[in-house]
Order: sequence, then C-alpha cells, then structure tokens
Amino acid sequence: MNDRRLFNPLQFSTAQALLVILTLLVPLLPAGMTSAWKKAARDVVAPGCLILRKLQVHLAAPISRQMTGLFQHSASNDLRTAELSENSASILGQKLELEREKNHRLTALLLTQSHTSNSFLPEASISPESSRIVPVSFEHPDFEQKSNSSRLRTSSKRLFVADLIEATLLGSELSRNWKSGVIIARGSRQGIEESAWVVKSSEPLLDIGHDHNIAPADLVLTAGLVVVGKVERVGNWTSTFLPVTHGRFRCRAMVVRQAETSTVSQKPTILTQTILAGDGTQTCRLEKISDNIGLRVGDEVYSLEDDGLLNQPLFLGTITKATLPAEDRYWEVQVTPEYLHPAFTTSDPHVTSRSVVTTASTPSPPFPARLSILRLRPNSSRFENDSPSSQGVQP
Amino acid sequence: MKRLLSFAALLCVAYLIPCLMSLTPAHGEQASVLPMAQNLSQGFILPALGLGVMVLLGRCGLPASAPLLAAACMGLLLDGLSDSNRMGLQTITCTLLMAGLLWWHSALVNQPWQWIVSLPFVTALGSTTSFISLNFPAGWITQVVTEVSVVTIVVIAGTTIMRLPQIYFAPAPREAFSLSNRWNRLTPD
Repeated sequence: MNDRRLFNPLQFSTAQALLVILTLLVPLLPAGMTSAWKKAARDVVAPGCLILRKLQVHLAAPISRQMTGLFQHSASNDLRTAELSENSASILGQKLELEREKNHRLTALLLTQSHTSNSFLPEASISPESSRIVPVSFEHPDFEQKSNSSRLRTSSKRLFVADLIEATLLGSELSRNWKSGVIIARGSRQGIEESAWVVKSSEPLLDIGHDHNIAPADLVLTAGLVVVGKVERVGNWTSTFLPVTHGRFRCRAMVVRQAETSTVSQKPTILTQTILAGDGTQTCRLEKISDNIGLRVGDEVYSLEDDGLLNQPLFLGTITKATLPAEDRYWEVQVTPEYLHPAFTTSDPHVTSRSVVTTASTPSPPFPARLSILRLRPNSSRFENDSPSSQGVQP
Repeated sequence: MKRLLSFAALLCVAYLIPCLMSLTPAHGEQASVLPMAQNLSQGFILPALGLGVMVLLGRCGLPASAPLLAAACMGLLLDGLSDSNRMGLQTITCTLLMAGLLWWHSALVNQPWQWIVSLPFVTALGSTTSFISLNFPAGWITQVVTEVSVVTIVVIAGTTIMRLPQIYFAPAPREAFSLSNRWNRLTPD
C-alpha cells in the first residue's frame, strides 16, 4: 500500500526535497529582490484580476436581468407583454447616448458654476488659510451638517441617498495601542474584541466601523468633496482605508479641462474617461489614455459617477506630469492628489496629520485629520410613503 | 493529455487564488452581500480551499512535486501581494501545508471525514501562522474560529455534493443473503 502512495515525507524524492529547501530559503532573499518581487507580483496578478472582474460582471448580469424580470412580472402586466425588438433596442441605445451626452454637459456646467461661485467658502476649521478653490465645500447649502451624521441632501424622491459620516484619523500612539490590544484588553473577556484583520492592517485607521454601518469601498472624503481614499477593512469600531496613492487603489475618473479666458465657450471640457490608480508613492497615474487626446499639465481629475446619485463630481487631483513616449500610443500621466495640497494640512494642534504613522513599506503621505465617509443608503422616506399608498389601492 | 490538463488546472488554481484575494471592490459597488465577507476573504480561507483543490487535481496521475510546486508558487504570489515587509512566510506555510495534505490524502481512496478534518486544520494552522508573526493581535481567536467554521461548512457542503451522484446512481444492492445461498456456499458442488 505504501509504495502506491502519492507522497511520503520519509521518502523524499530529490525534486521534492529541493523544492522544500528552496522554499525555506525564500526569507533569506536580499531586500532588493523582495521589493522587486512585491512590485512584480501586482503586475503578474493584474490580468487575472481583470478576467475575474469581467467574469463577475457577466455572471451578475443574467441574475440582475432575472430579478428585473421578476419585478416587472409582479409589478405590471403591461410590462410583461412588452418585448424589445432589435429596432427598439437601437433607438433606446441612441437615447441613452443622448442622455449621457446631456449628463456630461450638465456636469461641465456644474463645474463652471461651482468654481466661479462666491456663495461658499472652504470650511474655516479645516483649512483656514486655504486659497485653493474646490468644487464644493461642507458649507455648501446642499450639505446638512449634523453632529455625527451629515447628509448630502438630494431630492427626497430618490430611492437612494448619500450620507456623509464624520470620522477622525487615529494618531500614531492611539493606533499602536489600539492595534496591540492594550486599550481593549480588559474587555476581551466580555467579548469586546476588534476584528483581527483591521488590527493586522498597516493602513491608516479611522475611528468608526460596523457601529456606523460603514462598508468596504465607501469613499473617504475631506473638505470640498476631495477624495482621500476608500474604506478597505471594517472592524467593530474602527476601519482602515486605502489612500488614493496606494498601489491597490483604483477608481473610475474623468479628466476635465477648465475653460480658458480666451475661449468662447467659458465652460470646462470633459476630455476623457479613464481609470485612476495609485502608484504606491505620493502620486497616482491615469491608465490607457490614448495619444489622440490632448492632455496637459494642470488638467483636473474628477471621479466618474454614472449612477447620478451625487449632485457634484468628487475631486481627485491635478495632472502634474504628462508624457507621451515615442514608442507608445498611451499617455503616461501622473496625478497629484488634491488632499496633498498644502491647503489641506490640518490646523488642529492635537491631531496633526503627520502624527498618523503607518508601518507600511512605503512612507505614508500626510492625511487631513478630519475626514468624512460617503455612503449610499436606501431612502427610508420612500418606503414609508409607499406602504400606505399600496394599502390604499386595495379594495 | 490528462496529466497535462491537470497540471494546467493546478497552475490556474495557484494563480487565481491570489487574484481573488487581491480583488478590491471598485468605488460605487458593494463589496459583498455580507459586510464581514471582505475581511474573511483576506484570511486563509481561500488558500486553504485552493490547497484542497490542488490535492484533488494532483491525484489525477501527477507526481507529488506538481502540487508542491503549485503551492509554492501560490505562496510566492501571496507573499508578493501582502503588505508585510517579510517575505517567505506564506511560501513556507503553503508548501509545508501542501506536503502535509499530500501525506494525509495519499491513500488511493479518501473518506469524506478525512477532508472534513484536514482542510479546517490546515486553515487553522495557516491563519495562526500569520497571527504569530504579528504577536497575536486582539481578536485573532475570533478570526481563526470564524475561518475554520466557514471552511468546515464549505467542505461538508462540497463533499456532500460530490457524493450525491454516488448515492443516487449507485448499483442496486445485491440479493439478500438468504438461507439457500448460505447452504449453497457451505456445500459447494
């Protein structure tokens, strides 16, 4: 029986023994090789991630179609009989394109208004010396600032609304104590424990977690709707976030050029839509922008929202370097995040941005001390309104 | 041909597990149905299940070096993707755990209970190893217990599903051991 076995650790073949020995030697690799591999590993994994994402989308589409079909089935008998022919589908496609175009124009118009409007100023407590004009600030009338949960007020008829939840960065001392369990050690016997994966993470720590219904991928913002990062891991009371500059940060973005005084239109132009990715240093890069698009230093980068839930685009940063290699047909674009602008350095003497120290391999950029988390939630007023009306319909 | 396909599948699993673990949710999309699922995906659940699948594939006539190599590759990728400055922890863990799994599942026929024991055990070992390097941070026991529970449930479900065809399509039981049969056996012609 033993000779037919697949593997017997007492009878190593040369290849198996060599493999195990090589594995044990991996920690002895020089630091240069280690860091080179860490950079290469992300590139190696990138195609696989892309395939998995596409697969995810393909798998999700039929399910959502089925769900929509079910919903339509129960909601209305008229819709059940309606079938889209190829002709009508193409007409709908054209209408969709027109709507998108209209949306782009409205966004551009909004950017013009927000940049030229004098009706609001950046929040004094966050950046008193700020001369930087950002699209929207917390003082904007669209914001309803509350003690703990401010709300980005949108139309009350919308099914989903956006909330802004205030958060504070934990400083180096607090972070270290929290992660080492010193603070909650006494409560561990009563079951008070923070999630180990939050504690394990070397990313910066926010002081809210599951207790505020935070979810991974929620955006972390600072004054003026400037994106700082997105939530990565959520613990019971704290959560970590990936800064915009982190190697794993990615989001959809659009490049916008502000209107020049000499031009007739006086409106900003949306140049292209792309992906913004962190490069692991203090800057980001834009991916796959074709050479037929005329980029220049100073063009601004905003988040790309296609669900129409936010009234304003979120500011990501400004292009600080754009080169077109001779042998390549894509731009190499470097973007400096807006939150790294000197105007966003905190004035709070107790919680300085530089006090946030992480143990990551790359030096972490300074973060504004006061942050907000943007999360979308179903509009409860809609459900409250719907229930009596549905009851009223019944005979 | 079968061996070649098995080896290709092995490498695919070794490549896709780190890909799955490094999938960060894009902005605007919900990370997962369960809020805790994102934290769990960062643990040792996926690598442990991946090692189990590799052992299954390695049993299709491949030498033991093939799954060992695939496990080492997976560990190298996981090390490359981790935030830690240390290199080699995942590589060593994955390779040694694979060696253990190959030894445990080396018999020609495996019983379901062997899988139900081995994979949660591997999860516990792999998860604890990563916590040892962090001096056992607060909440690590909860995390390990959660991961082990999830893997146990997945393995039980998996083995049940794999056994269903054998239960439903098994040949009919032999004729009952009647007295006449016994008599015939006792008194051969």
